[in-house]
Amino acid sequence: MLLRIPKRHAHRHKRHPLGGAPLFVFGLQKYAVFATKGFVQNLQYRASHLVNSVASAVFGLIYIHIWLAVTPPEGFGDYTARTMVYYVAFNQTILWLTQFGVRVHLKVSEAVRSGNIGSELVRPVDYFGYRVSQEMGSQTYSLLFRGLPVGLILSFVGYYFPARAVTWLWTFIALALAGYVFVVIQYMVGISAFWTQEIRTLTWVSLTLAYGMGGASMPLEVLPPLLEKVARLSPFACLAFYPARIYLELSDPDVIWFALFWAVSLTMLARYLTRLARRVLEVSGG
Amino acid sequence: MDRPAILAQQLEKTYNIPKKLTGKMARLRQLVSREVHSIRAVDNVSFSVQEGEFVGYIGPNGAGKSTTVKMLAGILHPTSGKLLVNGLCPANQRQQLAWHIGVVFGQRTQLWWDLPTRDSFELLAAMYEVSRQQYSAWLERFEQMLGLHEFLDVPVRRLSLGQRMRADLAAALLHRPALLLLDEPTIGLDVIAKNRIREFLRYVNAEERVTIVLTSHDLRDIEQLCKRVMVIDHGNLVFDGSMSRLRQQAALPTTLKVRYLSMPEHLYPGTHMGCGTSAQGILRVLSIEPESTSVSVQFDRNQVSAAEALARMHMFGEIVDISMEEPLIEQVIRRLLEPEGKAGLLG
Amino acid sequence: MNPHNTSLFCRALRLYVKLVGASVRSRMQYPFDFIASLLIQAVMVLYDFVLIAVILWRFTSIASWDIYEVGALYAVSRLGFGLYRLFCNELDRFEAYIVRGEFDSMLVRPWPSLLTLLSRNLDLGRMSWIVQGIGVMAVCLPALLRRGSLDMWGALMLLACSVLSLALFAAVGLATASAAFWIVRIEELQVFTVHAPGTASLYPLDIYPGWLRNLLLTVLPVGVGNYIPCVYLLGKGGSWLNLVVPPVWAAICLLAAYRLWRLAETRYHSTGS
Repeated sequence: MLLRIPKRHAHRHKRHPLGGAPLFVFGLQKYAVFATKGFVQNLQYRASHLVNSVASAVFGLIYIHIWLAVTPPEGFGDYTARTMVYYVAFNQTILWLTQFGVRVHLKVSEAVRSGNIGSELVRPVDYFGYRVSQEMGSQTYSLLFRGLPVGLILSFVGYYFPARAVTWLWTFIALALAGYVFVVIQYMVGISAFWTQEIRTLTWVSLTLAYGMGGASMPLEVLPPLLEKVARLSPFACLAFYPARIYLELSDPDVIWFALFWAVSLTMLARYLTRLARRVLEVSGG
Repeated sequence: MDRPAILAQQLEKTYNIPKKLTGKMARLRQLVSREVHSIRAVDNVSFSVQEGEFVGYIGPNGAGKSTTVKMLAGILHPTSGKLLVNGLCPANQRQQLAWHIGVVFGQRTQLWWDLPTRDSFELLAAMYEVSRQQYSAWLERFEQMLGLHEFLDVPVRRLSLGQRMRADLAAALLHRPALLLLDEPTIGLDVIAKNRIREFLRYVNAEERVTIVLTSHDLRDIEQLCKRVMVIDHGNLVFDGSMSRLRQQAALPTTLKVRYLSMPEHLYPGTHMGCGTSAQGILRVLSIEPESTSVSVQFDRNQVSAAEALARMHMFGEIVDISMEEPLIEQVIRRLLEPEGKAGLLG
Repeated sequence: MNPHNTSLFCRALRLYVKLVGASVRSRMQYPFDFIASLLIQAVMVLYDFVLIAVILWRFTSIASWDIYEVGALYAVSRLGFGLYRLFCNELDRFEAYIVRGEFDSMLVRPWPSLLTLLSRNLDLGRMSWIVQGIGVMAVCLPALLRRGSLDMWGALMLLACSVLSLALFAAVGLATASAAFWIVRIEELQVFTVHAPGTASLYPLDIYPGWLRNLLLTVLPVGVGNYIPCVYLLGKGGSWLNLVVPPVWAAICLLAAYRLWRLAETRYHSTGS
């Protein structure tokens, strides 16, 4: 890939959709390539994913009825029984984004275990960026091919449609951040394979935290007050709770700043860990 | 007992594979379609095996070897025909028969994967209700012969292929079965391991009087062990007789490829030359490759030994490299099925 | 080598116990791995538990079943499921046998294939569900006894229901495993027949719409093992029939599942893998 374009050849790139743009755009383009690859890889399993989605919808149905039974008639905080149904339905739809669809921790820890990580880290591409963008392509697939069917099925039971058009935009941004934050967390779980064998435990811990404190199973207000406060401030809240509240138009989109904060902080942490890992590799020689 | 160990009469095994549909809504139509096409894996096969025989059962891939073995064990039920093993019908009396037979599948182990080998043996002893004394006697006998003591305490999953096969063989004989069925037991093994297994099988058949049916891809296995061979091709039994008759009828030619330091002259494809002590010993030049200074010759192993052939070729120049190719089962079959007029090696 | 005169059942039982012992020993080969897997299971089990624990803490009752009553219901279902995963682990994993052609090895032994299959491996790592079930039961039963909702006899009956639950899970698991002979890939089917009904049965069936409740009481009868008996035992209605019908239904389901398995086996004998 050309990194330096002599001035006199710059006009040649006008045909390219990105034009004779500065080189960081070319840099970004490769992430799009990785994301596309992550997306396409999933297509072959479409049929079994559809079955999974039906199963997910069935579980959604079960949870919906639990909440219908449990919510007191006067409602609970911001939530009426109806709102709870919408909450559950929305979260079941995006569940694949933030729970089981993500595999990056497996891929990274497997690379460490097999030793392939050595050759992967040596590549001239930013390892963190490579893994994260690939996974986000996979997440986009999950949203479309696994989440959407769940939403369609559950819409027979009850689904919320935002009153304001702009809500869709904010929701999309919130979801993009949610997906990103989760991938970064799972990436860190994966890269910790450099220092520990207990990847499976860490994975389950992170999934349980995401599920319990993320609001995927219930609105955070249900939790005991102390736990609720901690959960609200944790990165996990961005995974399900805040996107759901934005979508249901119960919260202002201001919470997106919160998600952004976590996205940036976790990115810095993850990149730091990657640097440490590189150093471990250099010292021990893989 | 005069009853044959195995009696098969007009055995047939037909599989009905659903026809693959194409065209509009193929997948949907496939679900409700009842169209099938039949595959005759075993077609009108009849034979009888006496007690104590060592029979080889060979054929190309997909010929029906494994299917027959599975029918003998009771895993598969024949579509038609009569089958008696040890006087029992495998299809109806599978469990009863299982007490009297041992089966070894080459590609899969039947031992417990995570347990030490010894534990697998003890479990099988429990399964087949083998008494303590019997078990100790068996272990004593086979421990040395198969070198089991090397790995008795190693988990099965950490055994090499050769060790695992030895363990599987020993395990199959734990309960002193009258009949041993072996499906490709030497597949993937190196020469030394193969020889060890062959030695063992020879002993078991001769001394313990165990009837053995051996299927294999490797003709050398059959050559060395079996006095009687059955050849199956596309479900049909095309040959059932002694090994020597098979050699005569199929005349298995071996190909020897020799690379010289410099290309010898006067050697052309089709050249015949006398070789060895036998009057019928002939080497026939198959092909020459001047670019690689190689010459390929064919000869009949029954008339000419490999050493003799090599010695003869050495007369043409200094040999740098050699390689030998044994005939494939497919070639043997083809040779068997050829009309009478073309019988004989060099016709 | 020839079968003795002891009853076939006794011999089969003796064999099963010996083979189970081997599975246990095999697991103990790697003690650290075993402990690690137990810990992971504990976390997994927590995953499911979190939801119901928080709900009960916050709302104190579900459809007029209070916290201890729901707890008892939950514990019975969990115990049943845990016992199922412990004893019938190979049924749960049966897809692998078909895919890898390992079922043949089951047919070479002088015992019914089901016995050979189930005794191959007892997964002790599945204890976490059982531990959770026992833990919850240990909290709820005494409370119910103290309150007078249950007497000793009732408490014993409740405990016995976990066996009932096991039987129902086993029936469903066996039927689903039999399906593998036809459709091979049963892992997703298992979600619909075993896991979803299992989760649903953790909660009182009152909360579900009629059609779902009926489904969970008939075709996917996992709910019969805990809900029906509990309704009677905890004084929510029903009659002594609630204690008689479930075992009968469980027996019927087991028999039906076994028939299906034999049918599947026959099919295997004629078509192979």
